[in-house]
Amino acid sequence: MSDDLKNNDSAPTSPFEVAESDKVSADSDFTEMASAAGLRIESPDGSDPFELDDQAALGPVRTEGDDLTVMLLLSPHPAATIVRKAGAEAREVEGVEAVLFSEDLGKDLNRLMPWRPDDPILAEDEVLYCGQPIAIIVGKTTAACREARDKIEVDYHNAPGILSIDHAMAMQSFHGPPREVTRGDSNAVFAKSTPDTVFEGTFAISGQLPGVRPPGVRINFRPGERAINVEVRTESPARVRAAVAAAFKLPESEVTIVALPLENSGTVSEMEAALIAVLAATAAMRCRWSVRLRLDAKETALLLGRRHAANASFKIAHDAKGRILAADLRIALDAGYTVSDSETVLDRAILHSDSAYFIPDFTVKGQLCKTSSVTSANLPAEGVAQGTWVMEEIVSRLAIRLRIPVEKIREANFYRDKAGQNSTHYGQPVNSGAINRVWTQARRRSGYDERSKAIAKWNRKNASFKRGIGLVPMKVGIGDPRSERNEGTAQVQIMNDGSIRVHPGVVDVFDGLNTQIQHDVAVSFGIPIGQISVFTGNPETTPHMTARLGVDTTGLVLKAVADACKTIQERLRTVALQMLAARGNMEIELEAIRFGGGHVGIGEVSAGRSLTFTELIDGAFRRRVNLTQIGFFRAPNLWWDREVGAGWPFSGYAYGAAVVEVQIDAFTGEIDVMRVDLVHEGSPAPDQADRDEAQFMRAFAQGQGWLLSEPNRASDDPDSFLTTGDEGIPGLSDAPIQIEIDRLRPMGELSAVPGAPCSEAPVVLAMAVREAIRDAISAFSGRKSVNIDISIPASPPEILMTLRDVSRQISEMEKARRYEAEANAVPNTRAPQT
Amino acid sequence: MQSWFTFELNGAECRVDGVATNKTLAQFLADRGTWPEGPCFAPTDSWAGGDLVLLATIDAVGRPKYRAVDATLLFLPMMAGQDIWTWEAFCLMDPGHTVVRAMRAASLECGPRAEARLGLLLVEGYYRQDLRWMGQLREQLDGIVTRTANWRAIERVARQIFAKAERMRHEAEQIAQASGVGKLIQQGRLDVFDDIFSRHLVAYYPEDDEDLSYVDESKRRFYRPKTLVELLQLKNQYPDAEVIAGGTGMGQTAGKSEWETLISTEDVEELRVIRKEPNHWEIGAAVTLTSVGETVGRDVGPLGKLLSRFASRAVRNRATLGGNLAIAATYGQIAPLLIALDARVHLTSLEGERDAPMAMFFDRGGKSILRPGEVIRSISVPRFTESILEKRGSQSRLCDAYMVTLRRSLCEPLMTGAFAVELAADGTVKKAWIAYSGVSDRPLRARKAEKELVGRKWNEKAIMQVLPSVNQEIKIEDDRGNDDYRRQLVITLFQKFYFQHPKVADDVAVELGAASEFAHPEQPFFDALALGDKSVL
Ligand SMILES: Cc1cc2nc3c(=O)[nH]c(=O)nc-3n(C[C@H](O)[C@H](O)[C@H](O)COP(=O)(O)OP(=O)(O)OC[C@H]3O[C@@H](n4cnc5c(N)ncnc54)[C@H](O)[C@@H]3O)c2cc1C
Repeated sequence: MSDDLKNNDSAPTSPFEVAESDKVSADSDFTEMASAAGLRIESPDGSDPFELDDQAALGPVRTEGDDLTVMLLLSPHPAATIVRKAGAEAREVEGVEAVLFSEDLGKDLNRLMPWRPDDPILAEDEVLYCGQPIAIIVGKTTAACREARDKIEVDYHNAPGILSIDHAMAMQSFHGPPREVTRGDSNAVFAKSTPDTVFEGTFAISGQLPGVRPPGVRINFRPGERAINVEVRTESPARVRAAVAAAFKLPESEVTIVALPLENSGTVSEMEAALIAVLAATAAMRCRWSVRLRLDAKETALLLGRRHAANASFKIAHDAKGRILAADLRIALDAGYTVSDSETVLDRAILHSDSAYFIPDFTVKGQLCKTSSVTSANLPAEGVAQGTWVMEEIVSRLAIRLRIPVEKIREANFYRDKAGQNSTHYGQPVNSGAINRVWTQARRRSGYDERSKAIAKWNRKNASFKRGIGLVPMKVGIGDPRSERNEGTAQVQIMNDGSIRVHPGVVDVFDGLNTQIQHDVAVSFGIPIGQISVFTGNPETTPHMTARLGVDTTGLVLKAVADACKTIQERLRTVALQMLAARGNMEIELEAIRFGGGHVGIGEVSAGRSLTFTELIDGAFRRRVNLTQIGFFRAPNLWWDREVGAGWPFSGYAYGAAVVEVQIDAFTGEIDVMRVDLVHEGSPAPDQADRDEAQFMRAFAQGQGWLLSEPNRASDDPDSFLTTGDEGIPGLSDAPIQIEIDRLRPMGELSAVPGAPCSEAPVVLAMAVREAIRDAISAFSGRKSVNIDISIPASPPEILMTLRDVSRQISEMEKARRYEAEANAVPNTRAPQT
Repeated sequence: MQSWFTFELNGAECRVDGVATNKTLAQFLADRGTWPEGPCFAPTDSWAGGDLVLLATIDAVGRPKYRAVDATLLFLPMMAGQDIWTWEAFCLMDPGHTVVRAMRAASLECGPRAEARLGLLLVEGYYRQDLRWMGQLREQLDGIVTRTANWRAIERVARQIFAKAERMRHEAEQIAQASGVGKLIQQGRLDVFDDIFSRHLVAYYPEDDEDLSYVDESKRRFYRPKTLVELLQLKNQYPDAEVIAGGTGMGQTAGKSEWETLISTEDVEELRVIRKEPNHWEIGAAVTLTSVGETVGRDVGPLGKLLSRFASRAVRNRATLGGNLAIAATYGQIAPLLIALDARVHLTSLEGERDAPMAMFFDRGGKSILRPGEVIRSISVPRFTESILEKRGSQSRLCDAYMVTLRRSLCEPLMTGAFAVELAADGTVKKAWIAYSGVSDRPLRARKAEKELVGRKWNEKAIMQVLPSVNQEIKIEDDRGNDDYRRQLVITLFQKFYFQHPKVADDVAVELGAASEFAHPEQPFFDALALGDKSVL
């Protein structure tokens, strides 16, 4: 057992934790307030819904308000057989209430129902990943729990485990069958091609950690009540509710979830929050008392999944101009030991592997690899980025191979406005005009052509510093291939004084959605923005909350809000009509009634042709009109048939393009991102410009961190989980020195346009950084056709390595050329002799 | 001994009774529910930007200044008698504070935590009165390392705010000069901003009370003496006592480690000096890195450059030079530069004083030559003015330092190389310094290579000839990973030094960084106000 895993006594760095030494002044106030933060289960006085074991029935004396602490023992090994587990000594520790192994739960409770009926919550005989919970320790104090955890004995018989995609492929360790989407017959094209028009390769994309913010959970058990109160930080409260209800064998209707705001989407994955909640719930159920569970930074890093790493191999046939005639792509994703959202992530990768290009004969095969690591997470643009980047990488390598400027190759391959060339490999039509628009806009506004020339000139003068520029297009499907995810709810309540309260059915991730809702509602009722209050993350009013990731959440919720407003408005119009008629205005038409400037009607209030909003609401209340409404929106006509590999999975596409310029320091491999030009379709509403910009920047920064600076960590070594300082999340000092954003109004009819396409899609555009790096490195190589293998992340050590590799290739080429020249020279010199 | 103390929190007195000496201010504030997200949240790791508060201090030249500091690294007793503000205070100000209004109008969408952090850094910048250039802007905000940062909007807002501050200062200065109180502005004693925080600041004088000697409920002691003698006597009295300076090193283990006795250097007059002598700078051990940067850093280019990338603004505002050297971190980036600058460190104890060249200060095993009972008093950094160089028989001196990190700020340096050469009029090397940190258990000098350089002309050939020696002498001896890369850096950093300082007479680096072309670090941003949204301000 690694000491480090046991002794993670970083008390003050975990959420909700009060260090023992602070207890003196960390009075019950703190505890109380802290209880507002975790998971809480309430319990017994006779009407206890749970089976009590004897010890618990006797009930140790506890003070109301003092939660029990839950701690976990995590496996330090990625794969092992558990030979022995012994907790007797640990249970003896003063202040320890329970030490639970999988055996203590029983098979049916040791499952994350209904999500993972096959996977254990606590390891049974086998360890499946590094960090898998082995035991739950419940005690009065953190110190007691820690001591008990140190006394637990577990004997492992280590197994090698499967630690990489390659390993999984070799072992045929997969989740489910391979997926495939095919158009035409790529093999037929390959058969007809010559070796110099066929080109093969592989490409690996590493994972990325979620922003590690240790999750905490608190479960409230209040005597005499059946209901459970769970406070938790999660993207998707509905999943936590289902899991906790299943663990307690309660109807979901008895479980109350308080969903705390998340600093950013993608900080706590959906399924892991459910797992952590169930672990805490189990503890609470056993001890029949409120508990809280907090993970420290290291435990968090072990338990929370990272992005799906991807390995791709490809074969393409192309013509001399760089047009791709056929492609055969294989994408393998690392799903971890079990599948959470990976099926959909794989779908998204496959659905985006065309990037913005029309490939006549196209086969994509995808496979989920089963490895000995924690289940992979769903972070912004998960799958979308992996899929798109594979194709962009191919195009970029093709350009170097053919020594044609890469933007020419891209243009040659774009979807075209011709029948048969404007739909994807799975059959959804693409707006080729939109691709062209963002592309030309990006090229023009960034001054791409002039700058490329200037850079080339600059590079000729500078031997040790080189600059590069990259330009990539982007086409991202809006929506989730799981069609049930493409819906939003929101509740709108009008109070008697005319103020309005809105409960959107999502968790708050501080992305400005609240302000936007305020604005929309204020506009639709024509009242000041200050009259609208928005309360996010309350699953009690909107039980079917939309998860924040993988969908166009913002758009769905805004439309649901609009739906509710519209319904209420219709009711109010009737009331207004009656009230105005009562004032003698009989000729007013229902449809003509407007909401604006705090008034409702068709003209001056003084002329009796309008009412004030407050007046109207008062009247509506007296007339017993329902002023509370749930709004609902679902994206229409979406379907995706995974088996057939065809469908119309997205409500549309968001198009964009980015130009990035970088400078590489050949002494150190350090990269300066000098300028970024983003062209992106934004939300349809003009007033969302600022919030859209915030979304662009957030997403782009996440992509830049993934590609440039955030290191990977070994999944088999708990000690390789670095500290926060080594996370490498780019800061303001790493920000591009100049940023230009061009926000375009989406093409097409407003009503058909998705709400806010920019919260995740720009992650994909960060590929332009990588393209710029490739361009700069290729300047070092004198634009020769060498293999430029840039790893992800392209940290300074990796860049220096790549530079070394490139110069090695060049010297070998030189050598080969000289050799050839000599060889050629031989017959020449001999010729006269013969 | 006293078992309580007070400090000023958001303009009101706050009394602390018996609270543990190693409790952090962040935890204390969390218990009081002062953080924006409520008390249930753990403090943010200081490497992720920390949770900041604003602290009133006196800067290196005696002006009162607000400094954003990381509350997760402050032990509560350090706060005794101090003046602090939290972000809440600015949000509640009526009518809205300039910074708050500008931020609200910008739709930053970064979440309350990051907003508070950014807000306080902006507030510090607003009242700084020396922010002029674009380069300083990024330096001020280098603690922003979250995934929710809207880089572009943050820079825009910062420019607006700082430009407004500059304009107000400028206007106030003109009025003040006309009425003959211009000096007050320079001394920071004239209210330029006309708000409660500014009024509070111009009237701020550090408390001149007795020495602090505080004992908590578990009988742990915290002393803050006023003189060096008292400090040394305490150190003698409690041999196990730990000296604490800024606390940014020790604060990282707050809550995990326990100290029976802490002795703070913060109030010790002798350790707070910063003096420009004809031949050298004298920097007291308890001077913060921000103060060093604002004084010595402006005179000694490479030091200013290195400090501007040290940790983050909030850490630099507390971290001291003495603490930095005493920790003797193997990756510490300042030590090799001090070696290249030919600095000396002065130690003192009840037995007397001694001093050592910088390189001799570090010992094997990540230790220093500090004896028990001994403290660092000061560091002296030579000033290589023309006349001084002449005395040494040299005409010019080239010096620079390069630190390599995975991200620009708040990142442990992977490795640092610092170099200097003194050149005679004919361009031959009179003396050379080649020093690295982050390679072994202490900073290393390539002494053989330094000697080989002497007498050669400063040109590429000379560099190539001494590289093998550098390579031989500087071995990667620790297990911090990236060995291959660091081995390469040993060579390439030195090459980079030559590449950027090829000329004898030219001691200004050949600027090739993106900085020079895109960031316009020397460009003032206050005329940028015209671009900004005036209505906000
Ligand atoms: C986010 C973050 C980033 C950091 N980045 C860096 C970095 O990039 N490079 C780096 O080198 N360090 C870094 N540090 C470490 C630390 O901040 C610095 O080394 C700092 O300079 C320490 O100074 P201090 O005054 O805070 O020391 P303190 O924490 O107060 O003290 C540190 C040690 O020095 C001793 N000490 C202090 N003053 C004296 C004295 N006068 N005489 C004798 N002993 C003394 C103390 O007893 C203690 O053991 C970082 C810290 C944080 C939190």
